[in-house]
Amino acid sequence: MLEIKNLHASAQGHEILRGIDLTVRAGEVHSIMGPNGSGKSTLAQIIAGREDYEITEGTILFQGKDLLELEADERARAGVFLAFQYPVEIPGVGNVQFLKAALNAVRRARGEDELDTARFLRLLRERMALVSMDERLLKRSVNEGFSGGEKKRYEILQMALLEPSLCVLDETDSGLDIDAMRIVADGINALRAPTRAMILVTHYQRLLDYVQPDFVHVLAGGRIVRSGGKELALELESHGYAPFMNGSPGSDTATIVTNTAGAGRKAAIAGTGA
Amino acid sequence: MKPMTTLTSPISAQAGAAARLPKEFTRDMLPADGPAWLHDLRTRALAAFAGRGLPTTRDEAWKDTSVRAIAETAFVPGPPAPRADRARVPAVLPSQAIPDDGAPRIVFVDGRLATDLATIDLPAGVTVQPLLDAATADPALRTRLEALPLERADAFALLGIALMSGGLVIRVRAGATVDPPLFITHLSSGSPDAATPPHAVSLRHIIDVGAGAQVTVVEEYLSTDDGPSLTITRTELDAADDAVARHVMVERESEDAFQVGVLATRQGRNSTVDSHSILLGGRIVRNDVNPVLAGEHAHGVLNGLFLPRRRQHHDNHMLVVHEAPHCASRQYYRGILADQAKGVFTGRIYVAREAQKTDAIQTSDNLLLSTAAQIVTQPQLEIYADDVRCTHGATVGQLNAHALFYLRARGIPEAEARLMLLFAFVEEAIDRIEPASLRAPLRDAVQERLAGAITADPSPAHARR
Repeated sequence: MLEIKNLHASAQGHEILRGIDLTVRAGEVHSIMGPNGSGKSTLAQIIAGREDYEITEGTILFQGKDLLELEADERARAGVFLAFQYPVEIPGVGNVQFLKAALNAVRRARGEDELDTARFLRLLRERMALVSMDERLLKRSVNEGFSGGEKKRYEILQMALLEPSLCVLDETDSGLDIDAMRIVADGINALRAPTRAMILVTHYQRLLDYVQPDFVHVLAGGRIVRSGGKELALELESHGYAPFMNGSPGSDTATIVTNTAGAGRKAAIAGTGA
Repeated sequence: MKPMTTLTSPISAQAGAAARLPKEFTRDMLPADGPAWLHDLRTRALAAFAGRGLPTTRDEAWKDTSVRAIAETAFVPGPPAPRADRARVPAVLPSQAIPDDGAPRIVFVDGRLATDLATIDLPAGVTVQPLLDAATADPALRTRLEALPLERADAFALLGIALMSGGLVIRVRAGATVDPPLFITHLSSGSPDAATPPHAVSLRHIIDVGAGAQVTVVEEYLSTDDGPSLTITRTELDAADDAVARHVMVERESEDAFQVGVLATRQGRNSTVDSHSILLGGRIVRNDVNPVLAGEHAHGVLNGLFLPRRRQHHDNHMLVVHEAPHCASRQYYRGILADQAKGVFTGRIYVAREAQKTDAIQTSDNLLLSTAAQIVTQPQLEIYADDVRCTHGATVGQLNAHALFYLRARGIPEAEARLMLLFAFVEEAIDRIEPASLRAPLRDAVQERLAGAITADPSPAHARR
């Protein structure tokens, strides 16, 4: 499904990813864990097609196609989905309008017919039940005035609606209380399928109590420094990331990378001029 | 007949005369018909105008708008009366005309009334007369028209009087609620070829809204063909105590047309006057909105949307005068500027010493879709009362890159995602339009225009990152 080879990426001249190798097959759930600034979110954003990063080396194949050749919207239509760590509020764009445009864009790309409003709303209601979303939220603009938990549930709803082949969830567990966590996890579990792969990017092991990954990878200093089964997550829970930071080649570099990752993000925001 | 004379700049001795524009508006440009008093008025106005010439960018009120393209166009007066085929004008309205759903529509073609007012089915409580007929019968009205704005008025006001071929007097009886809106459609026939030279025409409309009355007037400007034309309009709207008046101006002329329009309103106690301006067309459009809040607790809204593209120039010039205490004014202007277009928003708030407890808000939000597009936005506050609340804010930006990425990350193609964000940006202005029945047709007009702007320029390099 996804094959990442020797991926190097930088932002504003600072290298953030320093040779990622990762293979994800259909039906698998991978968890990518790591300390803040290790490059986890960068990896998620690059898979989704964010243009703020420069790919200096390496390849990403998605279903055999060169993913890096595709624009963000082309990737989404091809079946890549990113659940955002910080979903964006878009005043003036209604949720129903947004979801319908997205679903029909994806359906067109799959060669399916577009849904009219009635059929769309039927499907939407059905999927909303999955994440226990309040129907009144649909009357608002995209993410506008949503609580942190509502935003995350809304991401899962979008995933359920668009039925992507590859789901990348970027810290979907952050900022959730235990009830919201359970709802989000139930949604994710319901969407697990033999034809679908998932990558859960997370800082804490907490989400993995509810969603059992097949593989866990530790990302530190822009590299995957260890891979294992779900027991690796428990190990991280008891010992933290420190052993990996110290054990990885050049602990100083890891610190520097942490800083540059932060700078890259800030610069990206400043650069939009919005 | 008086001998034909050229009444232009040579007699202007003021400093800067050398910078005056070369165009000569001469007596032979004046409409030849009309009552004697109007001939005298036109001649006096032209003489006064000649002393000034068209404004240049040295004039404070025009410093961001060059009218050189107007000065360099050889205009002729509008035809004296509608041609025979124009008698059937409502049948040949351009497709851009806002659907009126059977509401009364009065059409002017190149400055001439083309609708037989006797055939118009007006709602109860409202009367409509041709301005010149009304003024000939009513000395007070004539005196009002004959006053030349010698002091502050700019040259276009004088030129407008000199070229005036008529207009409407709309009176709404006290207490009457007039529904549906009244449409005044101004058609320019343009100047598509050498055989049809560009017309310069001017109209004046007077709208008197009686105490407690309610009315909506829609002024739209359309072209039937390409090529330049100049339309100068002055609309004076008086809202008596407790009246609710709404004025909607829609500019959808060809991108060769020039339009200089003034809406001057005067509001009595507890009155509400909304001005909604939607500028889509025209090459150079000057949109002056000048409300005077003269009675306590009056409320004024100045809501505007301007979407210039290519080489269009849209200049919005607001002068909100608070004369009485406890009045509120709201200016909300939004611009989307594409290609090499230029936009101007000047929002002047004047608060007289007596106008305590004034509550004035002004916002100017602008999106630039290209690096070559330009917006000048400037608040100007002149406050002589000490207990007031006046706020202003201006933003200039591009489409929010984070929002655009979010939409695209869901599979929405870039052009469609950009359109969704542009529609969202204008929706706030559309949403303010009263009456609500006008929102759908105006939304359609605006969205159609934005869709055109996007497809004309599918992926401007500047907006990618």
